[in-house]
Amino acid sequence: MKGKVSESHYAYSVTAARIMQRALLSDADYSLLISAPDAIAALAVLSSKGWKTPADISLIPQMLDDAMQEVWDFLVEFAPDINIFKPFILRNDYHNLKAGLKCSLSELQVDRYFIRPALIPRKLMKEAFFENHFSLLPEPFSTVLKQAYDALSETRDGQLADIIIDRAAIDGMNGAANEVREPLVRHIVDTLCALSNIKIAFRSAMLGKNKDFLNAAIGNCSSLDRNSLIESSAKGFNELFRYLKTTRYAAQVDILKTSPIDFERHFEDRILSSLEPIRFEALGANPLIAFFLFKEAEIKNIRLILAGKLAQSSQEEIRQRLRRIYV
Amino acid sequence: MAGMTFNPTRMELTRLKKRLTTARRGHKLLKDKRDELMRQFMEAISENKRLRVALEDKIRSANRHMSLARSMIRDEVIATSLLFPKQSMSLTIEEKNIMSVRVPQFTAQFRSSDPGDIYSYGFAFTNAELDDTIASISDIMPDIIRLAELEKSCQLMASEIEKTRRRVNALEHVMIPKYQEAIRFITMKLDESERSAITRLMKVKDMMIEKAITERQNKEKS
Repeated sequence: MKGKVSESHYAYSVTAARIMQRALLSDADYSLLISAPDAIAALAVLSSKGWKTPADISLIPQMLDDAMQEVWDFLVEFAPDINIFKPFILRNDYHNLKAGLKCSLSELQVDRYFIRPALIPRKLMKEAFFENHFSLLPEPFSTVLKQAYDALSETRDGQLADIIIDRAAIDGMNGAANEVREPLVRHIVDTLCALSNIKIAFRSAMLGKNKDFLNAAIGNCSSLDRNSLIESSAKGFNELFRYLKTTRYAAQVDILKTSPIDFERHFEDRILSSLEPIRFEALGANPLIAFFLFKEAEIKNIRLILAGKLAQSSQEEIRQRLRRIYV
Repeated sequence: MAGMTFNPTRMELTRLKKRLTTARRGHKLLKDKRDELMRQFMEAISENKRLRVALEDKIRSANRHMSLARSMIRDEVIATSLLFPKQSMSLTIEEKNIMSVRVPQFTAQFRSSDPGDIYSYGFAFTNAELDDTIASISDIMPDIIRLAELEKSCQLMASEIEKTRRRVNALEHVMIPKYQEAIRFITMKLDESERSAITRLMKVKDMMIEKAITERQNKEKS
């Protein structure tokens, strides 16, 4: 276990984050965004709030990507221990692994499939794929990549490669969170992993996937018993709901029954609401973690609003899908 | 008799009459073909319209699901998820003969019979909205194939109807009247020749009678 950075070391970075946090969108800003007649008008609202908005709506994904990268660059510069954020970023690296693998086997340009921010530099990732030299990547990425590569080249089954990498991502996030001595990180990452596992179990039950699939796909997390989840999912919905009722996610089972999308939103809201009391703490890593997750949720919300505007969704539909942010 | 040259002979008349009979029979057959093609075409376009309206609704719904999925998952994640499809489809094209129009018939074969194989991605970092998008796109595939089949059939039938209509019109308004006119002309010519031959014969007869009378009178005088 790595040594914990003293709480007082965070004073400067927390102050810097507090300043950044003031720029987060408020409820009133969200109302303005939602009531904007179209995406262009919504971009104008964002621009008035200090966002670097593009002139062309096709560049919206790029704008959101840049915003997330900016947050990461800020944390790299100011956070005394960047490792506490590693569990949250790891899944981007695992995504890049999937993208690189699939692109290298279909001879596509990988750049447009990579996402930022990531721990493994893009250049190294491309080199590993370009030269088919997976050992250039650090462990456990190279081992996982080798397994996924073998599976994909042998079966041409994209889902099989995905579940190998996703499982490694869940286990990797958990492992990275356990290395960090921040209970908040462990709690949040565990909740995120539980969400991923429940999503796998639910959708597998819906499609009647067998135990082998579930064994390969479901990762470890301390708030769920992996074997019970696999067993119950393999038996179908009723059994899965019965098992989930015995876990700490019992309250969300009814939401899952009616809408898996609402369930996901509820889960994320739950994580964000757990950050509410700690965001004004002056010392320690917690306010930084809260800032990072709030910013991530804000970017998600903006993506949702702009996509809704582009798809001409009603204001009510957009509002229903927004994540709660406490500013 | 513009556009037609012929000898006004009895042989030509017989030949033209035969051609007129053939043209009338062809005209009737082509008219029947056109009517039947028209009936089949009307059926096909009404099904085409119904299918197209239903399909456009389904495509709208699939696009809506896609935009919802895109609002919650990054574009790069969606694009990567769909890079290696598990399911694949091949089309067998056969032909069906409708009034000598060879229209295509598509039969789709899927690599896997498992309906769950339309999802080519892991479930951990994607969401149910993406599943709904894929399911709705997959659901419209049989309709798209049927619509392609119908649209091609309609195109081919429309082109054949147009050709047949032109042939029917050509026979009805050009060929048959021309033959009729030619027959009438030849008949008139032949009648005229017959009349002139009779007149000539009558004249010759009159001349011969006159000659005979003159000879008899000369004989009586001498």
